[in-house]
This record gives sequence, structure tokens and C-alpha cells, in this order.
Amino acid sequence: MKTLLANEPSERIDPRALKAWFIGGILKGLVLLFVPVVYLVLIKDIFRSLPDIWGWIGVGVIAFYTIWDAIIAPQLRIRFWRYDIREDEIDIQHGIFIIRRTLIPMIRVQHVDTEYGPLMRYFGLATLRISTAATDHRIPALSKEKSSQLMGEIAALARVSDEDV
Amino acid sequence: MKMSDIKRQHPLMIIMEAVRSFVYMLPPVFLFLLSISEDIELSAVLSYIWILVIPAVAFFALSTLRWYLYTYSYEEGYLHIKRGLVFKKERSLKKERVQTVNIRTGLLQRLLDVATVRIETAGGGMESEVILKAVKMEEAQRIRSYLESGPKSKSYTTDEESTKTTSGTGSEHDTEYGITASYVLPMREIFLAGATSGRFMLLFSFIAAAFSQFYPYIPEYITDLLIEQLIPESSTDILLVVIILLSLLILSWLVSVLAYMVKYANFTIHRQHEYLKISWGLIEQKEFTLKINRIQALSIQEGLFRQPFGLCAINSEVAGGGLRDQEYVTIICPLLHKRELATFLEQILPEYKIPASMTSVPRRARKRYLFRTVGIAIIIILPLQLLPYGWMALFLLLPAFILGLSRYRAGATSIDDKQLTFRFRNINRYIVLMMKNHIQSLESGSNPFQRRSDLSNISTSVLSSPSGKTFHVDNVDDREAKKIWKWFSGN
Repeated sequence: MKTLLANEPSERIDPRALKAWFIGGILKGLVLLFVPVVYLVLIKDIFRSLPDIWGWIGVGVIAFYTIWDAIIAPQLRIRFWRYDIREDEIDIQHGIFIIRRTLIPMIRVQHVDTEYGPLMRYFGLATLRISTAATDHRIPALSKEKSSQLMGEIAALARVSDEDV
Repeated sequence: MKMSDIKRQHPLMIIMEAVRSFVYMLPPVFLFLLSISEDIELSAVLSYIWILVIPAVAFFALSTLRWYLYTYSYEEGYLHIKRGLVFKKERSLKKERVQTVNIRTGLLQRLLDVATVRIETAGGGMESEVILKAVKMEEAQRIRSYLESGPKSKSYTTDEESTKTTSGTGSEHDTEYGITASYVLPMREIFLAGATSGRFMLLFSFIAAAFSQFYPYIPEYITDLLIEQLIPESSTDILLVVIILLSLLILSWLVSVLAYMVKYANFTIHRQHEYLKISWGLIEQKEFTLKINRIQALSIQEGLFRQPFGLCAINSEVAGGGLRDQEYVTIICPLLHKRELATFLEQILPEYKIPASMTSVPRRARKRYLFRTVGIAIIIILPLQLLPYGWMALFLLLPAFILGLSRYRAGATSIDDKQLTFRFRNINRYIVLMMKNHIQSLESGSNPFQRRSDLSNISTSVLSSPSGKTFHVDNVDDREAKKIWKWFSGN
């Protein structure tokens, strides 16, 4: 594969992310499925004239979307999501079709956060959020130990600099 | 020390404040009168108009009190402000925290040689600024030079040293910071700037909208007369419409040029050491000072109407402050001939340079640029084919093609020691100059098709007033993208 640079960042995100994204995707699919099911069960019977077909199309679209969102996309995402935290910069690569690679100099980092939802917490994962004065970047689904370790590392490396702002 | 005296503003503030409060009161009162006008004779109300004297006096008294209680003093690097009758408010501003000091004068103020001083500190939002409504002009200048001088420049030199040790290339900077230069925009240029600003389009839509409301009230004999005078032996409505539109267009263009000239008359930019002082205006004069290292990027904009004449404008992205005046704050020069650009930058902003040569996007990028614009045009055109006269939408294809082609021609990048330069076009063409130490992050992205032909989009983010700002050049040769990447990462 020809990306911008032959040398991709080396670190990958935690493979447990696959499970978390799978379950998250399924749950999202179930919630979405609610709409066509309500249509098929309730609305269609109230207005006799409406055909079944729209409900089934809805179910089909959601099924496809869920397969994509819960199974295929996470595989691709985890394949391309790489990062490197070096002494003077953070290098992140991500994407599914459009692969983006971002370089953040350490002295531009304003603050680092970790955050996690209930599902992520169940799998012991957390998202690392890195903010500069102008932009926001994430490294999702790192193991909790890893993310707090990285957070400490970045915070130590990112010197506060007033010189340009 | 004289500096530490406790001072009050110029008494003109009393009048300004009173008038302002009074004017603010009028619309609700007027609306109230409108709502009851059906029940009461208007003349009966008018005979009671003297009642307005009561609030006027009250506002005047209140403003006097406010003026009396508003005191300020400056000493030892702080500006102290005290105000309030019931809720006392005190504020101390450290001068290192001051971002900009703006001075402006209205017409009334200018007669009395009084100015409004606005002091902005880091942080944004309403609480971050202090406004002295009316102080003597010389006092305003004194406040500004006080807040921008002394210990601050001392701390700045230490800053300089620290950056020098980290970057290792500061030797030429020292001589550069000694510069003083100024540039006054000639009136002819301001006229040209107004004439090519393209603002008349907006004004035209306003005037046309107003006119369409007004049109039915124009007596018919006038329009008839107009037609007879202008186009004898013809009574087609279309011609009338065309004539009206044309004259409205010319009118709005003239008005916008005039407004522009009044607004930007005497545009002066003055560089003194690490500060830029910019002032402009005929009736309302504005002036603001900007520390050079707050400029995050320079963008040279060649407007659609300006490019054919070889004209451009210089804007800047500025970090922090200037929320309300943002539109003006970013203008470094409203109009310049492209051939004067290099000289202008050399004198006023020698930190930035127009690169001698830029690397254009490769030829294989051309079809991607064309595909983008023409593809979108086709998506718009296809459904229109269902409508009558839908084929007329096909005329969109040509501008789309030209736009794509000229975007391809504009796309270019360049790097030198410290500066990254992008050239690109949306509608206007831009050349953006950025310093390495102002770029917050660099991103390159590519879709599978771009990867197959070794192209990628490259974008940078810089800090700018409301939030960040991103500039990007699409379909850059991978080798070039790699060079930029190395340049940014190479520490």
C-alpha cells in the first residue's frame, strides 16, 4: 500500500476496540431498527394505504449499515489507525478510504484528556484527546493503562510555551 | 510619580453616556406609543413630549455619577480601574497580559480631541476588555505607550533569547526588529480597492430589495417618461427592467465605492520594532496596534475582480482578541499592486517573504481538479433536465470547467528555512504564508484514487481569532508532500 510515507507510525490501537465497536454498532443498529419496525407494526395499520415495502427497505438499509458499521469499518479502521508519540511530536494516522496523517509538534500541545463511555470502560479502554490551540485530535480505544501512561508522557513532554501566542 | 495619579475620564464621557442611554430608551417608548396610538390622539401625546426631559435629566445625572466613580490609574506595570456605586468593581490589568490597545475617535470626539481606548487582554469574551470611553488624545497615546513599553519589552528580549537557543537561528532577527517603516495607501489605491471590492453585489441586493418594495409607489407617468426619454418608440417592459437594474447596479457600485473610501481613507500602516500600528478612517478614525508575533499567517488575496488588474489585498490571521472588530483587525493592506508586494513585505513585515518559485501541483492532478468542479456541476445539472428550460443549466459546465482548470493552475506549495507557503484558489486566489512555529498541526490525506497516482492533500491549521483556521492545497505530488512533512517534523 502506498501511503504518503512508507514508514507508517508503529503503535497500533488496542485490538479489544474491535469488540467494543462491534457491540456499539449492534446497539446502534437496534436503536435505528426501531424506526422501520414501528412503521411496520403501527403506522402502516393506522393508514391502510401505506405499503409494506418502505418498512422492509428501511430494515434492509439498516441491516447493511450495521454490518458495515459493526464489522467491516472497525476492521479497516483498526488496520489503518496508527500513532507514534516521539519526544518532539505526535504522529497519528487514521481513516478508512481517505487516510489522513497528522503531525502535531509537542510544543503546540495545550492539553491532553482521556475520556471513555460505559462500553469503552467495560472493555478497559479509553480515548486520548490531544488539543492544540487550534485543533483537536483523538487516539481512540487505548487500554486504560496505556492511555494514562501516554497522557503523563505527553504532559511531561509538552512544554508550555507563550512565545507565539 | 505622576504615573500613579488617580485619573478620571474626559467629561465628554458624561454626554456620550447620557445620549447613548437616552437613544437606547427611545425605541421601546416609540413602540409603546405606536401600540396605543389607536386609542389616543397623536397630538395629545406630542403635547406631553416635554416629559422626556425627566429621563434625559436622570440619565445625565446617572452618567455624571458614573463618570465621577470611574477612576483609573497606572503604576508598576498595572492598570487599575475602579467603578460602580452599589456594586464596587475593581480591576487590575497586568500589562504583560495586554494583547492590543485600540484607539478610535468619532466625529464629536475629534472636535474635542478626545478618543476611546479599548484595551484587550488575552482570553476573549466581554470581560476580557476594558474600555475608556473618552480620554484626551495625548492621554490615550500615553496609556498605550505605557501598556506597550517598559518591562514588557524587557521580557520580550528574554523571550527572544530563549527562542534563539531553541531554534538556533535568531541572528538576523535582531537587526530586523530594529526596523521602523510606514506605508500610506494613496487615495487612488483606496478608490481602486473600493471599485474592485465586489461589495457592491451585496449592496445591490439590498437596494434592489428596497426598490422592489418602493416601486409600486412611483407614479406611472415618471416611469413612462423615463422610457420615452431613454428608449423612444418602445414600450417593452423587459427593457425597463434592464434599465432599472443597470442603473441600480451603477448606483450601488458608486455608493459602495464612496462608503469604502470614507471608511478606509488615510489607511496607514506603521511598523515599529515588534509592533504594527494600523490606522484608517475619515469620519470615524480607528487605530490599532498589533504585536508581530501575534500574526499567525499572512494571506494574500487576489479577488476575482482584482486579479485581472494585478491587484491584491493582504490579510492576516491573528491570535486572540479582536472579536468585534475582527473584520478590520485582519486587514494589513486593503489594496496593493502585485509587483509592489515584495517591497511592501520587505519594509513592513520582513519576517515573511514571497517565495521566488513555487512547486505547482503535477500535471496528473489536473483531471482530479476538473473532475471535482465539473462533477459537482453535472450532479446539479442532471435533475434540472426534468424541468422546462432545464437545458439552460448546461451553461454551468463552462464556468465549472474554467474554475477547475484555474484551481489546478493555482495549486502550489513552497518551503524555505522557516516559512511554508500555499497557493490555492476557492473563488479568489490566495497565497498563504506561514511560519513553522505558528503551524499548530500538519495533515496529509489521500483517497484510494489519489494514492494510486501518488497525490495527496496537504493542510495546516493555525490559530486564529474565533477558532482555528485550516488552509489546504489539494492533489500535491507525494514527493512534495513528503518534503513538507520532513520540513515540519525535522527538529
